[in-house]
Order: sequence, then C-alpha cells, then structure tokens
Amino acid sequence: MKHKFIVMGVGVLGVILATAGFAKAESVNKHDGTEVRGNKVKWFAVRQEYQVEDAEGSIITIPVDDVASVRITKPVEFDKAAQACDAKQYDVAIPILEDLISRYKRLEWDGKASELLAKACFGKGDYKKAAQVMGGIIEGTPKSLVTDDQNALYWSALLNAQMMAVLKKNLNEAIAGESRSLAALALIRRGEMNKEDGKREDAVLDFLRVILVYDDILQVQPEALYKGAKLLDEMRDPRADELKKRLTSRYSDSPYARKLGG
Amino acid sequence: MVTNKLCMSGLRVIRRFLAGAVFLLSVSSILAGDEQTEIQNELKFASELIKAKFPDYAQKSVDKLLIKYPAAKAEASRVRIEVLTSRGKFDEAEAVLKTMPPGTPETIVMYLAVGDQYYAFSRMKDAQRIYEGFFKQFPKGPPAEVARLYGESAYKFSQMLLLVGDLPAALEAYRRVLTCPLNSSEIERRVKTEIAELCLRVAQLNETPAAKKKDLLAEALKLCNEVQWSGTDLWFAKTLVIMAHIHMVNGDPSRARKVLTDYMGMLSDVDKMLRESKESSKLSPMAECKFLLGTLCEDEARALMSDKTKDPETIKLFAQAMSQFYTVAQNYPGSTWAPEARRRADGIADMLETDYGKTVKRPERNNTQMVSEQLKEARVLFQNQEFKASAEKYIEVLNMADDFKGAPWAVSELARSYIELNDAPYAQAMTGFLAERYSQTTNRYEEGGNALLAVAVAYDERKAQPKADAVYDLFFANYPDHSKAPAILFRQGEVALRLTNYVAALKNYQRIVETYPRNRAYPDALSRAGYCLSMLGDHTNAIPMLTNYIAQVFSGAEMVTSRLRLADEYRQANMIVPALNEYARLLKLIAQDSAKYSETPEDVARVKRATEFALYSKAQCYSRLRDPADQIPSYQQKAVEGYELFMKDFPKSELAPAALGAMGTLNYLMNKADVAGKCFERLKADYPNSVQALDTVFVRADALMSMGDVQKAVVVFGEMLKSPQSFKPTQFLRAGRVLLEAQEYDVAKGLFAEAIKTQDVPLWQAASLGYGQALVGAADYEAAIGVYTNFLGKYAKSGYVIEVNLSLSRAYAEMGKKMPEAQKAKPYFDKAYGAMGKVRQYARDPELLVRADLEMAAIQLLQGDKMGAMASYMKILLFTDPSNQKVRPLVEQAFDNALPLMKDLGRYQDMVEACETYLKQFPTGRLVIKARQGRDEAKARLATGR
Repeated sequence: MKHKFIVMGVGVLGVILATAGFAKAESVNKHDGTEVRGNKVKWFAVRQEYQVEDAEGSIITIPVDDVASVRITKPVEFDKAAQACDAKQYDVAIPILEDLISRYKRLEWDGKASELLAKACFGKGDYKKAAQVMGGIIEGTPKSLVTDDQNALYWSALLNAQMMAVLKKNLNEAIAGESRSLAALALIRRGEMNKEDGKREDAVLDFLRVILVYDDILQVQPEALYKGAKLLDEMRDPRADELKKRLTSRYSDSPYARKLGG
Repeated sequence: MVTNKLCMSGLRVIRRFLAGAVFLLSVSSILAGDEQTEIQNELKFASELIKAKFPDYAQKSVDKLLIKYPAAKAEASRVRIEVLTSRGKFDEAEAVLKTMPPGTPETIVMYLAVGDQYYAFSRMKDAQRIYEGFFKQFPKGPPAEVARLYGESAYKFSQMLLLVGDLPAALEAYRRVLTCPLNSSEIERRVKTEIAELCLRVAQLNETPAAKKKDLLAEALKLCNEVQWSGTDLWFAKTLVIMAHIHMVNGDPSRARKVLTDYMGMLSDVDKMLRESKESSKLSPMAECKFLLGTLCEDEARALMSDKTKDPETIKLFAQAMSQFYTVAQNYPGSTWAPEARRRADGIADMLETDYGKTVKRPERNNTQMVSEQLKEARVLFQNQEFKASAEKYIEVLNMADDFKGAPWAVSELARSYIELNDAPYAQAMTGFLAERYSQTTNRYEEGGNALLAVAVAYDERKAQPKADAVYDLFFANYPDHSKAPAILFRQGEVALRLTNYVAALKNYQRIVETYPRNRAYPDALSRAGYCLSMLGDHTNAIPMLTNYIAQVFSGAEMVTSRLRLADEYRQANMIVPALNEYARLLKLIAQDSAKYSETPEDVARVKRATEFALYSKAQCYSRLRDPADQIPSYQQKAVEGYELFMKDFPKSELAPAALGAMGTLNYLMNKADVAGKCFERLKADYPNSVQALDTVFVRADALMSMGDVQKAVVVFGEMLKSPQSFKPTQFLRAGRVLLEAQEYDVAKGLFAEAIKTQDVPLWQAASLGYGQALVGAADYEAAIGVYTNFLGKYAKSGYVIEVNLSLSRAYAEMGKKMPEAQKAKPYFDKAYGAMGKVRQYARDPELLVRADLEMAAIQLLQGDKMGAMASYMKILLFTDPSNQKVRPLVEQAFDNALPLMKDLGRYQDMVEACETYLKQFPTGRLVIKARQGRDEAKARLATGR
C-alpha cells in the first residue's frame, strides 16, 4: 500500500515536472505543420540551421528552409528593457536591447527587441538609428505581416531624421499598395511632408484624399480632418470650417476634436 | 382658386428630380488596366472634391493626372466641365464640351449636366437652351439607345419649368415624357394624370387663348379617360376629381357634382384603402373631392342669396358646404385643403349666425394635429426649395399657433424663405420676431437661439456679411446664455482672424475671455486674443493673455510654443529681463525632458523650432541689456556664447547669418577684432548669398541698432561715407533708410546723397525721396524743396509722387512759418496746401489718407490755425475705421495731438466726445488713462461752466 502511494507521488511529481518543462519548452514549427519541441533551440548562422536539444541532451537539426517559425522563452532582460523604456530611461534600455538582438539572432526575440530598440532610439531623439532599425525589421518581414504601427514608427523616424527620399519612396509605395488603412496613414504622413516642404496645396490634397476617398478608414479621419483644417486655416481658406465641423460632429470624442477647442 | 390648389397638390406628389442619368459608356482607351484604374480613381476623387466644394483642388488634381497620363485628356474633360460649371465658368465649360466627340452618350450627359448647373445658378434661359437643343436633335422622338435619357431629361426639365412658373413650357416638356417607353403602366398612368392636371392649370391661365383652352381641356379629359379605362385605383380617383374640375371650368357645376357623387363610393374605397395601408391621408383624393363639393354648394348658395324667398334653400346649401369644409378640416388635417377649408367653414358659420340668426354647432378644434401635419408639408416645401409655397404654408401654420414645439424653427424657415425670395423687409421682420418671441421663454430658449443662428448662417452663405452680423448681434443681445454663444463668438473671431481683421477678432475673443471663463473655448480664446493683441502691436496687453493661457495648457508641444510666444511678447515690449527669464525657463524645460513635449513627429518639429528661436532670441536679449552699465561687457560675452551655442545646434537655420553677424559685431565691440573678423569671414564663406554676407558694414550697424546702441550704429554707418567708392548705391539707400527711421537725419542725409548718384531710375527716385525726408528731418527745408522740385520735374507720374508731396507740403509749411510777415508766409502755405491737394488727388490707401490728414493738421498748426487743426484731428477720430491695424496708431496719434488743442480752445464738449470715442475704440489703448482724465476734466468744466 505504501509502495502504491510512493508510485503515485512519483507520478504526480513527474506530471508537475513535465508541465514545468512544457511551460519552459522552446520549439520550432516546420512548414509541414509539425512542431519540434525541446529544452533549448539554437541558431547556427554559418550552417543556416536550427538545433533543438531535448531533455536527454539529444539534438535534432532542422535546415532553415524547413522552418516556419520558432518559439523561444522570453528573456528576463526583455521586460527590464521594456520597463526602462516606459520610464523613458532610454540610455538604460538601449544597451540591453542591443545585447538581446545579438544574442537572440533569429530566435524570435531579436525582432521584438529591435522594435523596442527603435522606439527607444526615437524617444531619445536618435531618429537616424530608429529609422535604420525599423527599416531592417520591415525589410526582413513579409509585407503582409508588417503592422500599421510599425510602418507609422518607421515613417516618423525617417521624417525626423530628414531622410526624405527614403520616406517619400516608402510612402508612395504604401499609397499605391493594397492595404487601405496603410495607404490612408501614408497619405497623412505625405501631407505632413509636403507641408514641411512648403507644398501646401499638395498637402491639402493628401488630407482631402483621406477624408473623401478613405472615409471608411475611421481611425485616421480625425487626424486628417484636423490637419487639413489647420492647414487651410493657415492658408486663410474659409473651407477649414467645413472640416472642423465634420471633425467635431462626427468624431467629437477624438483628441483631435478636443484640440480644436471652441 | 380651387382648381389651382388641385393642380398644385397633384404635382407635388413627385417633386424631387430624378437621379442623374447613368448612361456613361466606358470610353475606349489605349491605356493599360492598372493605369486606367488609377485614372478612374483620380477622376472619382476630383468629382468628390467638387462635391465637397473644393473645385480648385479638383482642377489641380486633374492637372497632375494629365501630366502623368496625357492620353487621359478626353476622360478628364468630364471633371473639367464639372469644375468649370461649379465655379460658374459656363463659357469655358461649353468650349470644353465642343472638344468632346459629338453625339456620344457621354457628351450628351455632360451637355445636360451643364444645363442642370445653369439651372442651379438660376440661369434658366441657358438651361432651357441646352435642354431644348437636346430635344431638337430628335424631332421624331428619341431612338431606342437614348430613349431613357430623353424621358428622364424631359421629366427633369418639366419640373424645372414648373418651379419657375412657366406652365405652358412645362406642359410641353411633360408631353415628351410620353414619347418614351415608360415600361410600367403604373408610371404611365401617373404621368398621364399629372399631364391632365397641368393641362387644366394651363387652360385656366388668363393668357391662354379660348381655342387653346378648349383643346387643353379636351386633352385633359382624354387623358383622364385613358387612365380610368385601365384600372380603379388612386389614379382613377384623382382623374375623377380632375374631370369634375374640367366640368366646373366649362361652366357645368351640376355635371361636376354628378361625377363626384356618382363615384363617391369608389372614392371612399380608395380613401379607406389608403388609410388601411397607412399611407398619408394627404394622398387621398377625398379631401379634394369634399372641398370641391363644399365649393359647389357654397357657390350655389351664394347665387341664391339675393332672393330672400329662397332663404331656406340657401341656408341648407350653406350648411352642406360648411359640413363638407369642416369634414376636410377635421378628417384630413394634413391635406393642403384643410386650412382653407376651416377658414371657409368658419366664415359660413359666422354668416349663418349673424345674417340668418341660426345656431351653429361648430366642431371642437384640434389645432395640434393640423399644425403638425401642415408643418410637415411646409418643411417639405422648404427642403424642396419651393420658397414661395413654403412661406405661404408657414404663414398659415403660424397663424394657427406660434408656441408649439418646433415653432422657432418654423419662424426661422419662414425668414429663410423670404431671404431666398429676396424679400428683405419680411425676412428682417421675421428675424426680429424670432429673436424676441422665444428669448424670454424657458422651454423654447435653446431652440429659439438655434433657429436664429440658422438665419445668420443663411446670410453667411449668401455672403451678405452686414446682414449676417446684424443677426449675430441680435443673437448675442437676446440669447446671451445660449449654449452655443461662446462657440459662435469663437467662430466669428476665427472668421475675422482669417481676414486679418485683428480688431474685430479680438473683440470676439475678449468677450469669451470676459464672459465665459468656464467654456472649453476659453483657453483658445486667450491664445488668439494674445495673438491679435500682438499683431496690433499691443505687446504689454498680450503678456497677461498669454500668461493666463499658459496656466491653462498643462503640457505638450503647445506649452513650449506658448512659452516662446510669451517670451517674444516681453522682448517686443522691450521688457528684456523678463524676456530673458522666459527664454531661459523654456530652454530648461526642453532640456529636462524634451520627450514630454514631443508626442508626435509634428510635436518634435515644433519643439525643435521653438528651441531654435529661443536660443537665438536669448542671445539677442543679452546683447540688448544695458543696465547696469558696468555689466555690459559680461552681457555681451553671454550673448556671444548664446550665439555660439545657437550656431552649434542650428548651423542650417535661416537665422544663422544674422547670428554670425551679431557675433562679429559683439566681438568688435568687445575689442576682439580678430575674432570679429573670423565671424565675418565665416559669414562670407558659409552663407555667401545671405544679405548679411553681401553687406557686412550694414550687418554690424544693424546689429548695433537691434542691440539698442544707436550712437555706435550711426558711427558705423558714417564709416561708409569715408570710402564711398567701396559701397553700392543700394547699400547707401538701405543704410539711409535705417537711420531715417531712427531719426538720425544728419548721417542719413549723407548716405542718401551718395545713393542719388546712381543712374538707375527707380533707385534714384527712392533715394531722392529719402534724401528729401532726411533734409526735412534735419530742418533744411529749402534744400528739401529743391530736391523734391527736381524730382517732380523729372518724374511727375512716379509711384513716389504721393510721398514726395506729403513731405514737400511740410517743407513748404515750415518755410512759411519761418517768414516774419504773413504776407511773405502766404505763398509758402499756399504751396503747402497745393502739395497736400496732390496727395489727396492720388492717395487711395486709408493709411495714406489719414497720414495726409495728420500732416494737414500739422500745417494748420504751423500757420496758427488751431481750430482748423482740431477739425482735422476730429475728422480722423470720428470718421476713420479703427479696425484697420495700419491706421490705428495714426488715430491714436491724432487723439493725442488733439487733446491739448481742445483744452486750449475750451472745446470741452468736443473733448468729451473725442475721449469717449477713443475709449470705445481703444479699450486697452496706450492713452486710456489720458482719455479718462481728459473726459472727466472736460465734464467737470462743462458742469462748473469754467
């Protein structure tokens, strides 16, 4: 009877360990749908392959061409860096993130750390580096997986770094692209750029295009209306009132409507 | 009258124009699919821009498209025509139409669209030309491919003609609808019914010849028969009523009555059917039918009235008529007949009681339903822009009651109908009524205010600004507590600001600041009031506005820019130490946490710009500090350090050449000639095209001027005269002008004397004017007269003639004053007035005219004519528009000069008037205390008679 209890105890412990091991497990998902789990996943750049090491220490090698994605345990430093970014301690966050990027190359967290690094550089005012990092991320990601937020950050960094030629090219590609929400966002940025260049009528056209052609992309409407109205105001064009009216009546809760005042 | 009403009601069943035709065929194109899509998208965008009232941008968009795709010219013509017509440029639009391939469906549609725009611009004759031109292309009826377009256009055109009251032409257009296949017996019967109604209406016109009337009535009867043969429904019932009318017009009331009574059962069924299907009772022919029957009875009774023996029969007929009319009023309150029916029934009831001694039991009145139903109809008419009919309907409604929910809107729409009808007195009367009637009520207060604002907007849209302003004034006077009052004030401020009318804008913003401190427009009003004050040069008053504004703005880039504005105001008010403190505080804030103020890329740019200006201005402030004198070298050192920092951080700034110039000058002042030299060398090397690099002497002197060290600046400018061959005439002119403004006439004279050696005529003219002005300033009047006489002898038509004469008149007057005897002085004063006459002859600019008046007063004073001078000053005070910012300082100067004159002459009543005018026009002006004291003193003198 006692023996039975011991057996049961070992069994429970085994389940607990197995569960703990499962929670910490890293894995490689292959294009054929199979998942290879293990304690540790490593990347070998020279051989262009992943190695999955299981609990017993045996290693499975997987060529990069077979890999769809990898899942790696979140490094503790990542949260530290994120916290430092939130506290605007960019000088603390940046070296941590750079270290993570080099240590976790092609191991999931390099991408996430890069994005955070770009944000930190932007916050610090190092726009050139922010643009460089974001450009790298976007280039290395399939177009369909790049989010609007990532693009927005990239464009802002380019704008502030005065890398106008690259920005213009990117914006024009987005405007001609398939994603309507991205095109609308790109139009607003191009409007800002045109305004900065003194091409105020071109800027108005960009804002109006968002308002009239992309009226289904609601999330960008307040910004387009606000910026269009402000610019028309600067140009002493009374039609600014129409845009303001539209902003305050349709998007009264948006921060841009509140910014208008009155 | 009855018949008119019938026809109107029938035609109102369909009022809205049919939607635009959709026969656009795709234009064959040599362009590839993607390009074609892009072109179509751009053209669609351009059309949207036109609809959103941005035709200028639509044009720009199309122009850009054509640069990219020149082959898309034909397709772009459509948008181009839309752009042109929306701007009223019809000749150009028609010219573009002529370039389009004739006879294609697209060309035809565009052609008709131009017609529609002519109609929208109230150019009916041109619309008619376009439409008739289209119909004439198909004298034997339209071919199958354009039949639908033809029918729709005929219907649309007939509606246009109806709205402008051209009934015969409308009928002709309407008949064309029947020449097209209508593809639905329902539509066909409806069209036929409406044509029958129109025939009847045209037949009743006085100008229609008798023979034609007969034909029209026959045509109407034929159409009614055709409708009745193909079904018993609403259209059957309507044609019955039309037929009854035809019999009445033909003078056969018994037959009319027979038609109605014979088919009463059928009419009741239609009425019941409409009620059961919850259709509006307005559509029911029953109301019309009963009204008609009532009219028949009334007409018959009135014919019998003269024969007293037939009183019983007369009374019976009147009673029948009254009953019919009351039925219409009670059971069909929404029909167009109801109000008239009630009036007639009440009239008959009064007559039966007073003339025939009968007791009449009148039905209980239920105004609510009738008001509500009639109001709906009035609204529909108003929305359909049938303003004459809507005004009549609103009058009917408001005569029944004027304190129901929606009454203020009814009055507002009535006023707006009159505005549309260009009936100004009635529009004004209704607006006044609206302002007063509901402003004292609690339950209609908000609605009343909103309704009044809608009238103001109607004037705004017609660009009738004085009238719109008058309505806004009524609003603020009658609805001061209205929830929209602050927003409207703010908007009015924005409009004035856009027109750079800072005085008017300030008035609105200040009203918000003073009256609505809890409104959300308050912070922005503070900001804009500060801006207006700044633009009016009232920097000391702008400071408290901006200080208050900053207290309202907690964070963000706005905080940074508003602090920069405050610092700039201090600087411009010459309060250098507070300005310096503000710039330093701002730079510290940014340095501590720039991210806090840079949430968006736009914010980043704003903060960067603010840093750039603050750094530059801070250094500039140090260079201007003069107190205590022993600290000046230390201040200058700080200024140099400030400029160095600025150059390090913003080497590409547009202020960089000025900063380098100032650094050079400061080093020169600090006896660091070698460092100064390096600064100027760098200026020439790095910014070779800057104004500063091209004229370093000027830069040094100008920098000294900006530091407030005029004496040293004069010395530097004077150095130019030591080696005049090293400088160009333009440099002498520029330097001379600076010294002229600083009233350093002696050196200025020398500089201008060098400048006039030029061979360049425009430059010579400008330099001669400056030379003469410097000579007048230096009291060398005789020489000035010589310079000006030479000028006018050579260039009597120069653009400087006004300025030359203005200064010349002063020179002559001063010479006159010098003369010991009046007789010798007179010719000079005559010439002074003569020169002033030339100024008045040519000057159109308000500023110049006021300057001429000021100069006139000065001449009068020189001549000893105090009374004349006072009159000249009063003219400026009372008749000048003080909202012109260029003129304002001159008006203030006139007031300042006039006050002691008035006192001297004992003109206390004028003094009170002048002071009060000043206080009203310049409530925060620099002479407010003087004006108050002057007014009080003058009043005391008037009261005591001393």
